[in-house]
Amino acid sequence: MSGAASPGKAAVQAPRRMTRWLIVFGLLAPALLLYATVYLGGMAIIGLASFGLGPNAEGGATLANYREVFASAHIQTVVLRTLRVSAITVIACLVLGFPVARYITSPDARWRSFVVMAVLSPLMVSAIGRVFGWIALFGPGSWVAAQTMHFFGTRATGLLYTEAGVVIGLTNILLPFMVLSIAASRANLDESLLKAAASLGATPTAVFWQVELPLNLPGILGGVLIVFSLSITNFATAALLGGSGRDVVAYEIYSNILTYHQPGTGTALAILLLVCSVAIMMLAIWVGRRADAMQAARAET
Amino acid sequence: MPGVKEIPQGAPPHLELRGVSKALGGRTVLDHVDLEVAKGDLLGLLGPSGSGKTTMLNIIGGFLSPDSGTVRIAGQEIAGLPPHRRDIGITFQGYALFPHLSVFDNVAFGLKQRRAPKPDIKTRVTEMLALLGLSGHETKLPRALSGGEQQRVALARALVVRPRLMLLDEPLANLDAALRHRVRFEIRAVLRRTQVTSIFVTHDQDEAFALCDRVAVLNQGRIQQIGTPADLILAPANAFVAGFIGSPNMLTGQAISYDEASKRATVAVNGFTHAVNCKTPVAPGTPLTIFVRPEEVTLSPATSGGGPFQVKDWVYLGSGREIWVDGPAALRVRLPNDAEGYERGERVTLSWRPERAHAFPADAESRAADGHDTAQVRR
Amino acid sequence: MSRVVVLFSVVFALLPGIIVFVASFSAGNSLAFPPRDFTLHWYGVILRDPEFSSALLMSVMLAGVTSVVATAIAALAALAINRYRTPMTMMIEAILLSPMVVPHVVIGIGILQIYIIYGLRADLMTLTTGHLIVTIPFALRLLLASLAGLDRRVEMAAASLGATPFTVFRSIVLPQMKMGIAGALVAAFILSFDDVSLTIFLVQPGYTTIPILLFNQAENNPGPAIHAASVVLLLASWIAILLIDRLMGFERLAFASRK
Repeated sequence: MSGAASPGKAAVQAPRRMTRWLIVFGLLAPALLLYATVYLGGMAIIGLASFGLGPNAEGGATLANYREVFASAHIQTVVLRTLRVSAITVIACLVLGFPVARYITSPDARWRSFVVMAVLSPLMVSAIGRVFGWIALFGPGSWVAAQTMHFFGTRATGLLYTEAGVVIGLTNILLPFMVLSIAASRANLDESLLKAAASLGATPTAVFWQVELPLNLPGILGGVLIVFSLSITNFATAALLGGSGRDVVAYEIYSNILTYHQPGTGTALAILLLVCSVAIMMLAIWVGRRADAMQAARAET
Repeated sequence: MPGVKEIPQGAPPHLELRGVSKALGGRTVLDHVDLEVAKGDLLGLLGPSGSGKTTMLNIIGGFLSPDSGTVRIAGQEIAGLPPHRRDIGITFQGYALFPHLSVFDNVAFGLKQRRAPKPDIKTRVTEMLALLGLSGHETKLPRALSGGEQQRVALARALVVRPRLMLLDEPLANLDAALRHRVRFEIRAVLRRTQVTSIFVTHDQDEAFALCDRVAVLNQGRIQQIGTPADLILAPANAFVAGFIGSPNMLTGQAISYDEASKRATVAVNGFTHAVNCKTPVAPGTPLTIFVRPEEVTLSPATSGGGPFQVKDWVYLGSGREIWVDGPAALRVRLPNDAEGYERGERVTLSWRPERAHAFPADAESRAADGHDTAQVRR
Repeated sequence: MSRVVVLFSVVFALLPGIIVFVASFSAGNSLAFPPRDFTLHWYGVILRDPEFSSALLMSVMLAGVTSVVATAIAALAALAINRYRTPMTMMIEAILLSPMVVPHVVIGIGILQIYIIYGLRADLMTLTTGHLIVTIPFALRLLLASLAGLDRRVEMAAASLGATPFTVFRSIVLPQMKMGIAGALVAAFILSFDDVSLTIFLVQPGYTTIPILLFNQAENNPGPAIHAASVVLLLASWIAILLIDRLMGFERLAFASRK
């Protein structure tokens, strides 16, 4: 870099830098090769196919698939249902997740490790395995079905194949993400701020609304975005608990492509879902980064 | 105890840095550093944080390559050598013990790299652990040891391979105050016994003075002065060294007169005049920065009640009684613990031996102020 | 009030698993809960079912191969990304982690299209390749976290004692990555073992996994034996959780793998 470097040293360094880059790319090569061929390649093909392009396509680029997606009344219903279910799931996760995050980050939580283990376990415990628990609980002939029939006097199907059932199943799976997001933002929360607020005469309610909640907002916002994104892209839980005729977007894509062999609308819908979920996740990451930066700025002063 | 080692004429120094410069992230961290260390010497590298000490250590150790300049050990240029072929023992800040290896395996690591025969490894490691009082800890993992013990394992690990040079990076920084005093002397004794040429990096002048034959003061990537502790204290080369060593009082005044023969100047500080040491000839009226240590100042009760200074307050500091006086300038004066008198409000006159106060033209003031601040914070 | 919600959440989180577990011993011939009588009958049924046992074998092989290969590939990439932080490697890191934010359904269709173009049929290799894409990001996250915790001065110390770069890696870096590697292996195994949303695009008859078997049966005609099969999945996941908790603390993994 500097002109002061002796020619001898430059000669020693040049091959060393080459070797270093060879090593780096050697280490990254298996991952990059795999990603490029299967993952990025696959997404590129979906992208092309959604515009009517690709290996087996005849004719030029067209927006027909997208036009069809936006024109279809059926897809509109599916999208609205997905958004509705996801929004309610987000609210349910927030209502349950905030107290849990607060508990596991409080210094005197006696059952902390048990609560952590139990509430976070859905991250790893088989989602498909648990779905059958809900099916048994909500299904025809179950206690819940008997109660719903008793109270609402309608069909004895319980909550199975209802949007309520889907929300319950999704909340069960996605609650850990909300808890983790809020708990992570609370880990940086200085307890003494709450004490300071109380010492200045704030009631517990005022401390919560005016100090605690605003300081947790980045974690809450991050959790909301992550849960929403995972919820609109969910496949198995929504498909099994929603049943036929109550499809969500991910299932619509699946059945368009595998069952009805309509790859056109399927790929266009897939690209739209991809763009939405990635955009929401990026927003969540951005919110997290900003919160970290704010935290760092606060720590410096 | 050997005194200062003069580098013998003709024989090359054991370690030699010539014009070493290094910029990191666009900032010049080392600026044409020259340094020579004689074989068997124990050199202290003293400087405030950010002065370039660790960068220098990384360059000698081979973890960074200098932008320009040469590094020689025993006359051999080592710039092209990777760290593992330099044969330099290093103790790192925070010790950097191998967390997954036992004390014995930590110490044996370097010998294994040198393919020493197994029985040899066993004897030398056992000897070295005994030398440092670590016998009985062989099978423990580093995290099971106290800070002082970890420190000695790090030292044993570096010394056991008999390196041609030892670099010790703030070896006492992670120890509590009581332990620090004891370990300081242990390190000195072990380094003396093994007679290895060593560089001891520290920001603490007491440590540097207690451990080292010679001390190099580093600031802003430049070596400010190299000398014995006495040199640094009695004959600081510049305003930075004068301000950095021994937390002196810093006064600002002007030259009134200058005597070439004795290299003394008479200075006026807000009307208070006194003689001081001044190496550079100065014309009358030149603004000067004057450094004088609290223990060099003598107080006397003002005759006829009208001295220029007044006692503001005083405190015991353990090593003496410190009197804070105000007047033409504010000063701290260190008296013995049993010194009596000098109560609040008393009028006093003060004086010092001219050779113990050092004046430098104030154009170097910015750097001097840097050093002075650091010294103040450290106290 | 807040404690009540916490208690409710704990029960809510565990409830479906408990129901499946209890229902798998149900003597009745329906999926209904609560059961009236108890029996081990359904475990006998699934054990004798060739479809189930071949799916179980497939799942175990698939998850086993996937976890080993994913961890190996992720470990190499993690080393490169951790050691050479340049804009280029940071961008590569983002790409390698990106399947975490891309819907599995989309990844699944994409891989399916590639396989169709190259005329590849479902087998252990093609399924593993698909699973690698969704497990590598998690393995990479965990390994990067374990590398980030290492003190670089320890490696400098080894080099100063004469260790060559290769020795430093083998005897200093690798042993300290052990926990991260173990965590990545277990996490990748269980993610692969349980996957539906990607696998469903790639399977063909003869290569069905347990989750896909359950998914298809649930869509068509769920019988009570399905609970016994679910219990197999649940047990595998809980063993994985307890293993991870032992190895590195489940909570640490949860936070490290967070999206």
